[in-house]
Amino acid sequence: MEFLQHILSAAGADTLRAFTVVPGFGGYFKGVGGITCFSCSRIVLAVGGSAVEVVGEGLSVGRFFAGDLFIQGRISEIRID
Amino acid sequence: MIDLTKISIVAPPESVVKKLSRANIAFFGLKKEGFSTTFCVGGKSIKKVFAIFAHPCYNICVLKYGALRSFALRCAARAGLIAGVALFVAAVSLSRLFVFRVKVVGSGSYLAPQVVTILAENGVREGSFCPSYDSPVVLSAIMRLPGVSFCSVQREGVAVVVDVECSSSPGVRPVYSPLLSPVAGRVEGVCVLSGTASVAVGEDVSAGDELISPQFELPSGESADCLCAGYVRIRAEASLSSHAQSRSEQSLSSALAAVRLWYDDARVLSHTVRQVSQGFIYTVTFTYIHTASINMQ
Repeated sequence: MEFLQHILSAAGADTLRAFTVVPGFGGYFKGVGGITCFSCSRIVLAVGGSAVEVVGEGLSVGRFFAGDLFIQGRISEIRID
Repeated sequence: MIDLTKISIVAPPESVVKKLSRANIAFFGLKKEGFSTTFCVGGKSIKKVFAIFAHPCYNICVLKYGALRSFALRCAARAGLIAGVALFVAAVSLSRLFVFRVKVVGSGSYLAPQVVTILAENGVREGSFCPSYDSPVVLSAIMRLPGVSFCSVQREGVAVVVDVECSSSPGVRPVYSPLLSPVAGRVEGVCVLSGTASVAVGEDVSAGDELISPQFELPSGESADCLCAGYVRIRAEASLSSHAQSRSEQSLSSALAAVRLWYDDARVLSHTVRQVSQGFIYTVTFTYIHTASINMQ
């Protein structure tokens, strides 16, 4: 975790808006304000002022509470606008 | 979290997520299934979710309640059955505290009246409340009955089963008839182990009189048949004649010795001497103790 914190600090990233993807299992997203688009193959998240587009197969919301979101499914691509 | 309730709502997932997150409701497994969106929430949030989507345009329903709530609903739907089962279990548990039947088995089952009485004296009787009893006392009392060589008392549900085994030597069979007096005389002692004494000490009896009857008085006052066991000592009167060549003290001593030869405890009452053609006849009248017994082998 210290190594991750070091990288994020060096990159100037906001940890509140970070995400972690486990291939073939799902992804964990922080600071999610809402979901603007939802389908089994594409979920668009509103994170801060930007939109995070999650593309994959069999996507579903595993859990969502207080800005913490877990997406289940095979995530193949993430785009940030 | 096991108490999750699955809810289905006809609304776009984006709208559902927006409303739930705004209300700070945690939800799980949100999926889009056709035109509806399904998700799970904790049991405490169900009312809140229904309040959020109370507008008639949302078609909302519960697909499956959580484990705890489902169990509670099933129990409520089968309240009568559960109450019946509970009542049955309680009745079975309570019935074990009562004795509804006393059964005497084994080769000593003919001692059933005495065994039943012994049990009754220790609080074990049919139809009585009997959570426990003093087993050693009951066993020792039964073992004191005539001929009993083994005994066990067991509870089988609402019944008490007493296994009484009697040891009988080959050729010795119990006699089920009353004890009759073989001689006439006066009763000097009575010992009854089983049955009822028909005579008392000091009473005069004739030959053939009943000394011990095969009856037993139950605690209820009724009498029941049973096996006699005991003995009665009777002082009876008898006379013995002996022949002598001459009339002398030695002849009298011989006559008395003949009496004591037969009866050690004889008490001589009187004697007479009668002359016959070939000598004298000495007749000694005496009393002796005759012991009449039954089933004392």
